[in-house]
Amino acid sequence: MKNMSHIRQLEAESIHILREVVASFENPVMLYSIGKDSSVLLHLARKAFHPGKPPFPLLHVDTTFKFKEMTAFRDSYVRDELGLDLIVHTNADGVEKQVTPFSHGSSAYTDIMKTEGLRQAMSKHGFDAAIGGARRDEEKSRSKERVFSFRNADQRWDPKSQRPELWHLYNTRVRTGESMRVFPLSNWTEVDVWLYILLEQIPIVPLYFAAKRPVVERDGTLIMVDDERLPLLPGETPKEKMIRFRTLGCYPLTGANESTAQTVSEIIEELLSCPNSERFDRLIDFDQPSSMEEKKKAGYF
Amino acid sequence: MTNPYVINGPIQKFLQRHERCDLVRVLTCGSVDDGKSTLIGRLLLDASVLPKDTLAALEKDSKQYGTQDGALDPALLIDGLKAEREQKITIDVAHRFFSSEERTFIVADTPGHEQYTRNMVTAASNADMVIILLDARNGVLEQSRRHAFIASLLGIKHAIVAVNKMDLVDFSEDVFEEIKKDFLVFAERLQITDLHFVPLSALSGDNVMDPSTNMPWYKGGTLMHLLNTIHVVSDRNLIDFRFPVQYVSRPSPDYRAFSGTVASGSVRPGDEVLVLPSHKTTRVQSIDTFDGELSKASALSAVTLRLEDNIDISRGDMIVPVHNVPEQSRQFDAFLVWMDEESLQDDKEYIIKHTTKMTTARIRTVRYVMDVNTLRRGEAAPLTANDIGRCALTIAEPLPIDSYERNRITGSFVLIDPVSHQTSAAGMIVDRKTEEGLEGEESSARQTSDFPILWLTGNTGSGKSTLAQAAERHVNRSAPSWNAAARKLVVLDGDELRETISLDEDLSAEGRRKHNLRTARLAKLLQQKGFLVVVSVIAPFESLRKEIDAICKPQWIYVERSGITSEDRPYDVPSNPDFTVNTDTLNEQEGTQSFIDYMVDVLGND
Repeated sequence: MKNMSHIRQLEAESIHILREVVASFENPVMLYSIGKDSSVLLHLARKAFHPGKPPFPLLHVDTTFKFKEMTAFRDSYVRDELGLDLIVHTNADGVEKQVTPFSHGSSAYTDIMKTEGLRQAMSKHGFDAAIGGARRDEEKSRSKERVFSFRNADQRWDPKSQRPELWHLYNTRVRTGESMRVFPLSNWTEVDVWLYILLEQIPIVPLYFAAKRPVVERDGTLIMVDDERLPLLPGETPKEKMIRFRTLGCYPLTGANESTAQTVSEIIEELLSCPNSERFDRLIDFDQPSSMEEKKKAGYF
Repeated sequence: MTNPYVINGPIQKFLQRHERCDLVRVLTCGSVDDGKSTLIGRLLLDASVLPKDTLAALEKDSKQYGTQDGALDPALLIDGLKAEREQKITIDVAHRFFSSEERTFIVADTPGHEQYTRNMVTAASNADMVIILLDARNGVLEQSRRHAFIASLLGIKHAIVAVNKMDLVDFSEDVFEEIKKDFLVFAERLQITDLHFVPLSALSGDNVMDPSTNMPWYKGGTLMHLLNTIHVVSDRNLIDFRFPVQYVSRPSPDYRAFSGTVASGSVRPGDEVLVLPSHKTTRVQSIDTFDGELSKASALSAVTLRLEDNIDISRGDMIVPVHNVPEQSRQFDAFLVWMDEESLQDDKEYIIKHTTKMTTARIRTVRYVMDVNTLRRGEAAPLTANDIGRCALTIAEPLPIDSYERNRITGSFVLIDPVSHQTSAAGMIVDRKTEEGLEGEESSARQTSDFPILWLTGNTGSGKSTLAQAAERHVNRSAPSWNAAARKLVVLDGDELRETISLDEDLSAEGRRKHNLRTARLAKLLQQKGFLVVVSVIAPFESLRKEIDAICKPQWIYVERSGITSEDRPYDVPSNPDFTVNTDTLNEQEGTQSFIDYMVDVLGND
């Protein structure tokens, strides 16, 4: 008997998890960040509920500093081409107080616009389950994360009291106000994600492919000048460089890589001989020791 | 612009490798200081290409938290949470990923500390193989025994016993052999069928990836070699098709289908299937996926089944083959691993989740608590956190179950506390037919499908019908005390069936075969409906009886009489019948009595 290849096993496991969410929760939502993991997650959701559409809305927490190409991709592909139910939420309070990474620092900005924005949206719509694209291989504290991760009424994660998760029998019980974060890609690695994008030809934001883009270099990190809001330091002039992104987030906080990879194949090649693990390029992880763990306790995805 | 999905260059070879790459789930366990994190860190360091920044972070962490005087400490690649760094022990289940040329591994790292048994059970539930780590200086400890027992209980068939820190015992062969001997004595009582031993040093890397030059006496494979070569695919149940309905797909008024993951076996369009609990039958019309219809779906596939008839089916129902139906039971025995801080309460109604079905369950009796160090049965006591005990459960409605040994998916369940919603226990269903140790008080409460079908085989004229009729009279007219539920006994007699349901079959070999198999299916069906069933049909050939076994697994009663078998009436004498009645030596009354005694023994006092 021939075994299913490992990528098809991962696919089947994720589809099983997605169906379990829809069958067990009243009001689930998929967190859609427009990144490659979200693209894979969305593709799996389309598979899981075929021939129907995914029976839940997609939620994008817009921090107002996303790359322009991300927003364009979100609207043209997800909303127009696939015709999915897309909720875009922005922390209005933060906008009013003019919170930006420049004025408040990356840590406070992320906290207010991203973490708080997500909590607002979860409460406002009364979602009892939020599906996210986090993977266990991304970061140390995530390696311990459950597939169905319980959050108390304050949407907080307690790493010391997680429910044991046996076989594929997920304990989906929550009380009113409590919720579940669900991670169908838990067992995927970064290479698996790219492999799957290649095999399934999943559309992704073009920023993942190398192109000439205007950047400035700060503390050894290349920051793309995506719009005029990025304050240029004295003597700084944007230079055109051949770059691409390994992860996508808020443009002033996302480092670019010099690269020539213009196809998924070339990206995988680059990855396999790659000198940096992907979260390295997200500056926010390096604010303080064990920083991702602290953010997760507070409700960050 | 180039097509971003074009496949060219070195990636082609990589893709080919991935096409045949197996996914293997490995559990690692050991006592607190056996060096487990170091070993996994070592595998990651040596087997995968670690990104530069991870290495830089490891160097920094090694200086700050390391136990190796500032030298690279592979354990720190593994120990993720702040709390455990400070305590220098692992406190939860962590998942790690690495791949070799042949396989992709998901490693579930589990804690060694006793109070975290539940985490080990969690990780073991999905593992294909286990690495049990021992410290060469300490040998086989209570912890190691506990870990081996849990791995065995959770159905892991392959174990690698890694004897670590060989460098601290001068790479001594005697020490290794002594530990091996100790472990084998203990392992005799376990269900782990495939056991390997490897002496190594995780810190220095001896026998991890490369053969150790310090231990030339060891002729076996390195740990990596074992991980790559141990055969695991055949562990899966490829026989019994089970499809727990997970989600009813109704995207439009003209489309209605049933989504789920094939738990075991396989299915094809056109297959005749039965739906539990309704027992309605239909055929599979198509196997639908996003990528088109499939000609076959096997275990682990997540698919959607469309059926020919419009049957009322909801989540929690199970689709199975018509002639391979699992037991439908409200009462069964199971091993429970207690997970919750709150102890088992026998008057409490727990939520039970079995495949995709949720209902409620009570624990009727704790038969015994397992002493995991001796593998002996201890006293019956309420289970507390980390206890493992054999219990009898009563479920609010019948569940379609298989034993855990036969089917890891339809044989497992979890109990959930109805108030706190904590996961209270993990359960593994025990096949009672192969287990001894049932108390007599239970026989009256037993489920009908527990009662075996009695099949009288013997050539024409041996006296089968006489025995069957006597049994029918005994049970139906005199209502013996053991038959508390007053179940009706039905006799399926060959001659009668020939006149009715097998009227369309001739006396050719194939006609006889079909007649026999049809009878077997009918017997199975009646058994499931709660009847006691005695069959009186010749079933003349060993091969035919094997086929019948696969359908309804009867007890074979050989009715023996000499001089009735001839060339035109061929008959294979059963090689290993469950019981024999010799109508040569016994007169009608004695023969009848011996059969009734046997029947009472099987049906009444089991």
